[in-house]
Amino acid sequence: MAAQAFVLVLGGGLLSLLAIQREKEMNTFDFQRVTRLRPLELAFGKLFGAPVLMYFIVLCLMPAALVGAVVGHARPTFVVAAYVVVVLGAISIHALALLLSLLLERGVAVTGGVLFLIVLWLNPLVAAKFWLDLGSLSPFLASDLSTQMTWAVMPRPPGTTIYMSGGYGMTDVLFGWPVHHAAVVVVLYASFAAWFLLAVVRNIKRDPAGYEIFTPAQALGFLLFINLIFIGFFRWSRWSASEAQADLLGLNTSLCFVLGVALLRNRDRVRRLYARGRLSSGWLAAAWPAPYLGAGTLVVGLVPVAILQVIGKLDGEWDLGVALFRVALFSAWLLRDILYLQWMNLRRGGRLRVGLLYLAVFYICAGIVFGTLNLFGTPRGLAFTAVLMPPAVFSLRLGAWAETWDAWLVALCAQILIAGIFGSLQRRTLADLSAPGRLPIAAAGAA
Amino acid sequence: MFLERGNSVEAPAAILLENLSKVYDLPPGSAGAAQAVAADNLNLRIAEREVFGLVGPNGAGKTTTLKMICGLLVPTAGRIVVNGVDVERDPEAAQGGIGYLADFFSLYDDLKVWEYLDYFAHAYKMAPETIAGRITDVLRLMGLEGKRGAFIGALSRGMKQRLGIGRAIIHDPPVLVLDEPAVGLDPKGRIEFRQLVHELNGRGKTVLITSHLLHDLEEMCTSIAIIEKGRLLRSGRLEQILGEGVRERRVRIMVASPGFPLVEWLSRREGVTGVTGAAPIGAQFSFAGGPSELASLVKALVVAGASVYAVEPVGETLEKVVMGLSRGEVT
Repeated sequence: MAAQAFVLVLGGGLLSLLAIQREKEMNTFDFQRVTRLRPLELAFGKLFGAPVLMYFIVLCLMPAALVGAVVGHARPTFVVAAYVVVVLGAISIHALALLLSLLLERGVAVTGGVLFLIVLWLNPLVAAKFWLDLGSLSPFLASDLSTQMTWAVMPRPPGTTIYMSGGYGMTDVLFGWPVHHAAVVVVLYASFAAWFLLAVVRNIKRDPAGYEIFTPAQALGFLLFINLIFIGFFRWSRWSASEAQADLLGLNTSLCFVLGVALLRNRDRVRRLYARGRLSSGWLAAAWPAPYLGAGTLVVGLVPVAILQVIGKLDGEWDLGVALFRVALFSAWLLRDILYLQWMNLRRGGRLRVGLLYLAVFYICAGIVFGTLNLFGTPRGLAFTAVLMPPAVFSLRLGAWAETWDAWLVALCAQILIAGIFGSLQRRTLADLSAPGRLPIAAAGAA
Repeated sequence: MFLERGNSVEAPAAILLENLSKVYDLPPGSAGAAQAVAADNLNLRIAEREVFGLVGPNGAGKTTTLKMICGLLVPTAGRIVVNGVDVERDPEAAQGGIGYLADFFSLYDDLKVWEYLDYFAHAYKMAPETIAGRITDVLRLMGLEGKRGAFIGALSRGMKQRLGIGRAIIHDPPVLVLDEPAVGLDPKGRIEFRQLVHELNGRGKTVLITSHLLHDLEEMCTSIAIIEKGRLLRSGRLEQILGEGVRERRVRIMVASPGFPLVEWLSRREGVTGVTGAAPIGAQFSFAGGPSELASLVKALVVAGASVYAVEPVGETLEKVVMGLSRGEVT
């Protein structure tokens, strides 16, 4: 079973990563795009066509696996469940690989995809078991699943780790209810495969200059879906309220960031919007994608606060005002960075990659300097670092807030000010892009 | 359905470009402007059953325009209608009526010729019962009947080019969009390709074609458009384009009278300018008069003692017209 999972997930993943890249290099992809195939048909063709050899190998290995299952007295239902997990898990990974193959350059797609597959392979060993009552999401758990003897689910004592500690079956805890892990992964694989496939279908027949992973509404939906998983499986019992809020905000950081990057507009898109009269030349245009990202970060920040208030598991560290301040700073911070990246992406040549590099260098350098000065170790120092490195707010404690609230408010204002500066820069770039002579003659009037 | 404009009756448009524009950025560090215009407010109407040539230098915007017509690139502004379908609004419906061949392309070398056509016939959603017959028809038309079971990797360059066109017409589209289809073909291949275009046009196809081989286009096309830096310089019927700007007809006269001072004699005549000698005994000149004046001139030449054995008009070539327009209108 492990060998089959390896072949299908890793081998199929690699083939899917190369599927569209190779067609683009050969200049044959356009021929497929101009056929009458609908995007869904084309996406399905790639999803199941690219790794078809790996499916064949799995079929060839199946008799040996079944003999092994019989000899080992494995329960047939678990063997079937293991195959379902492997195949569904592989499909979701292949869908993600296909998306990377479509959106990224070959080198970036392959490197990122291979790293992801390696992490996935190692996942049972390094699974983040601290925050979520959720077992491994790697399809490689199929080997464990095939050797299970009972479908029973048993609530585990608080503080114990997931099923791998043994004695409690493959039990996850969803909104306080024990559920079998196999059922959870099947639902999650199907959901993730659907999300990835949606992104592929939206873009596979598009002009590459107009790629847009999700519509803003879909991106918000994806963010909320992931947060539903976070909140549903979160180990509320293990953490204090303030820790729980900080952890959930931390878990959402990269997710919201990716959502923000996915919403960025490029110059080509902006030109088309201007040319069709669908973009105004004011501050609203210059604030893109703040409305959607702001809504997303506020929702994913405020929902846990509401849940914590409702379930009432509040400790001495909890303060509603501080909790709301954390959400506000979290949102302002992400808006600041995304507005910076939006401005970079609208500059000539689309400098998103350079922008990301600058951002990484900025955080590394600031972290080293602040660490060397031991600013993270004192309450006022921590507040000061938040001006440039707002994630410090995750470490904000109630006692420190009382002493340094004024400094934290300055940090929040600084984020808003910096975001405003990047909005202003974006506005100037937009004005330059839509200046007379820059747009097509017919469109200049409409803009 | 035919559209009437004034007293003339116009064939319906197979391809219609309305205020089409495409602007894109040049890489940072490029000299000159920050952005390039691949299509600058292009308006073009290509009637059904035309063989339409799109002519222009490298970087003129030909390939970009073709890709926009096929729905592969989205225009910055403007509208494209193919066979009555707005390409941006309903790309799949529009693409069903287009056969497209890119300038540089590969085929799937590991497939057999018939498998390749079969794959695309299914991708174009042809009725399954018609596919086998259609593949046979296309292979016959392309002269590839003998290669039906051959692997594509084993085909020559010319055969691959023909197979590429075969793929483009497998679903019998009314419009063919061919980007530099004659590149890399030997002279025989080019002649065969021209015959193929004529045959496809004879079967009712509208063909939009780009090429740097202007002589080939002159032989194939019924209409042309000349573009440069995304701007349309001229468009119209080929004979009209070639005749445009020619205020004086250019004539060549050949005589069989050694010693007759033909050049001097012509230079003294009214309406004759730009006389140059032509081997073996003859001259080329511009003549301002009409046919009857030219007839009188020839008669006078015979009376003067020259044995005239040939009088022929000298036409403009597409190459000259393109070069003239290119130099004169875009800098």
